Amino acid sequence: MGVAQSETAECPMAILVDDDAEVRDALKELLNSVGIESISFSSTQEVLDAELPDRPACFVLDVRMPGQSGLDLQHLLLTKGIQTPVVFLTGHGDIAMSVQAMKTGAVDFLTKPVRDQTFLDAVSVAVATDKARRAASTAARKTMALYETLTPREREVLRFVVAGAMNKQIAFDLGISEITVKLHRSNMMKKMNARSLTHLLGAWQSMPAEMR
Amino acid sequence: MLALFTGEPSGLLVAIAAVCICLGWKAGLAATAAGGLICALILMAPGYAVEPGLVRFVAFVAATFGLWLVIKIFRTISFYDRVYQGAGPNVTDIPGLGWSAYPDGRLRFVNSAVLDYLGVTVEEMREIMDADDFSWWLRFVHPDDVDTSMAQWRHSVETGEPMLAEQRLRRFDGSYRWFRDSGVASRDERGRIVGWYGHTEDIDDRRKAEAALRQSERELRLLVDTVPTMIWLMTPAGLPYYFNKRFVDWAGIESAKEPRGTRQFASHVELFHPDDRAAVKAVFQKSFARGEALQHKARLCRKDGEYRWIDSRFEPLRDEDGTIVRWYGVNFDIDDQVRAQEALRLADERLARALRAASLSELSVSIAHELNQPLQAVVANAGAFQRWLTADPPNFDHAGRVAQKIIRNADAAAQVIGRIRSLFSKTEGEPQPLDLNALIREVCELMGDRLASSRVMLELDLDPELPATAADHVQMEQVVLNLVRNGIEAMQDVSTTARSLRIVSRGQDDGTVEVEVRDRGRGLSDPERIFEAFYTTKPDGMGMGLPICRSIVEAHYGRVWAKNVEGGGASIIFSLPIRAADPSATRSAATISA
Repeated sequence: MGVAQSETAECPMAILVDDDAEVRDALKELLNSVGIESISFSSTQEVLDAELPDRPACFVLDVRMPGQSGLDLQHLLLTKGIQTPVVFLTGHGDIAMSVQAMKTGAVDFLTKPVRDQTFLDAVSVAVATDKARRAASTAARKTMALYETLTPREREVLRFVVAGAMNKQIAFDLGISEITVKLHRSNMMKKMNARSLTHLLGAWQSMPAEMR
Repeated sequence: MLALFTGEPSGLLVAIAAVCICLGWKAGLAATAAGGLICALILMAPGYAVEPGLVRFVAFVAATFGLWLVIKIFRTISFYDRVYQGAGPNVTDIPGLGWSAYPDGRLRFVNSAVLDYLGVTVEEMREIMDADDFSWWLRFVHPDDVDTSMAQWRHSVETGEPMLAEQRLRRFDGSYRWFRDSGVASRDERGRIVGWYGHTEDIDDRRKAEAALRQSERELRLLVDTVPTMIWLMTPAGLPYYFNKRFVDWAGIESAKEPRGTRQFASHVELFHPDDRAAVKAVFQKSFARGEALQHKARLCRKDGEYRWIDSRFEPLRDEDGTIVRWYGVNFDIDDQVRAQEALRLADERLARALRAASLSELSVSIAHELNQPLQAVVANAGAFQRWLTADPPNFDHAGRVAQKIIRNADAAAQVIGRIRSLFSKTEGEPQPLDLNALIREVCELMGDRLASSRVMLELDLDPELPATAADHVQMEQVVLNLVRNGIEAMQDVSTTARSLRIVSRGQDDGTVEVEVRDRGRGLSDPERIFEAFYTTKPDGMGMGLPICRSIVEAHYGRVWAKNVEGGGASIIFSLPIRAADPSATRSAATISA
């Protein structure tokens, strides 16, 4: 997976959403002091309308805002397939609210005023999560591209191979000669850029489940 | 004529005897007998024998025949005389049916009304009367009554006691009517009974009326007993003498025993709850003394021993002179209603508390949000400030910029506080001249239900000379209301008999008026702290009542303090300066955040 590592070098950033300009500004200042870039929005709608940068990031959402709340935004992002981690920072949190946020996948649920270090820790964790997520997703995309180059017969052979079948068995099941199986298998391994069976299995497992 | 024809004196004697008989019945009979005897002696005398054989015999027969004839005629005539003319005014002229009888009980005479009623002729009547037995009873008296009537009559005849009987007699048309028969014995000078005189009165209509009356009374009684209400009656003296069946069933009173008490109200007051007895007695005594209708509510003991709330009402019944002849009372069992009302009131209170709590929590959320925003900014900027300073090398430009922001954020927080303060402070109208006594009475009236349901006795000791002061009416009402409510709540867990709330107002020499609200609760554990906001000893209290009181009183240049009372309980006192209504001398009420 050394291929993906060059892309994760991008700097992480925080996306702040709070209706209070002073809070936005102060958080930006705090993140700036530890070298984390940030962009800020004053409402849920602004976030939905904006073009979000394609780099490791995390959301810092206020819950109570004019218009749609931070919790609403969390749902909307998920339905749009945006899996960027979310940290909530709210002036008045109750248990029900925090449970809902955590179940939907929030990294943390903090109440204002939060200690600066606690806030920075939460953002770091969220950003690290996003980095890992992005790396995994890049690997999957690459494997998918290789998989697309396989012929239908090679794909069939791939399935048998990852299931642990012997060449003889594959030949019997597909009704072809063992020699032909070996040929397909060798082509498939080359196309998948797999040096070994273990490597092939790792690439296979990084593919989205519905493709497997 | 006989004397002339026979030339004998004996005929004359017979004529004399007949005249004598006409004059008097018994005397005539005696005279006839004596005459006949003398006549026989003369005729039989040997010296007088002119024609002894035939003449003597003829004379004797003629005399006997004449005598018989005379007696016969006499009896017929005398009966007619007695019936229609000559029997004196005392029997025929009496209204109704009159009769007389022999000492042995046989009928001697009945008046014409009897004959008319029975539909018999004189001859028939005479035959019946002469029959020597009691067959007429069987003939005219109703078969159901004949035995008792005859028994009574025989008893009277034997003992000589006056006879009084009621029986049905058959009329000429065969129908029976009720009669009352009364008879008394007539006695001679030696006290022997010589006969009976009686009067028979037609009481049929009266009997029917009485029966109708009894029926109507029975229906009325049934009505009184079945109406779903307890009804009872008392004498003007206050002694209960009648309880209807429902009352008896409800309270389990033994109707045979009552009235149990001889003292006024004693017996029924005992049925009330011990806590209510004094009040009930007072109400009754006052009402009975004045003759006014009364209404009161109290707990009455049911037969299962449960005390239930009843609503009792009494009205006096007066005669034409206006004198009270009795008291009519009804009791309604209103226990279920009272309890439902109580439950409703409690629910109301709980709701009000919940609303208060809800609005407070809503408020606190808003306050928290308002304040947390600038605080968050301060914390975040301060974190950045620290990091710029500790960086290597320190970035003073950035740190300075962030410090500016921190100051700005802190100002914003201060402004939020200011806004909240102004939100709670309210400027009130000008103080008006205020009669604190009237205000206290109003509040107590307002809290009347609450006091009653909490079984709190209210005791007012208001100084009639209390000088007026100037204050905001609504605010002062709130103060007194709060103190009264506090007092009631302070006594929730003490015995009901000891629950009393005393409100005293008094003018002081130092130019102030004081109002003291004293309860009999457990007292205060810390009299100094109770005016602090959010300090409460009640599980569901908010700790706001007394701080608000203090703000209001202090806004009126007064003061309020609390102390424990010797012998249990607490006393909260506030004082206000005596002053005229002067708008410039007041300031707006303090805020609860004070």
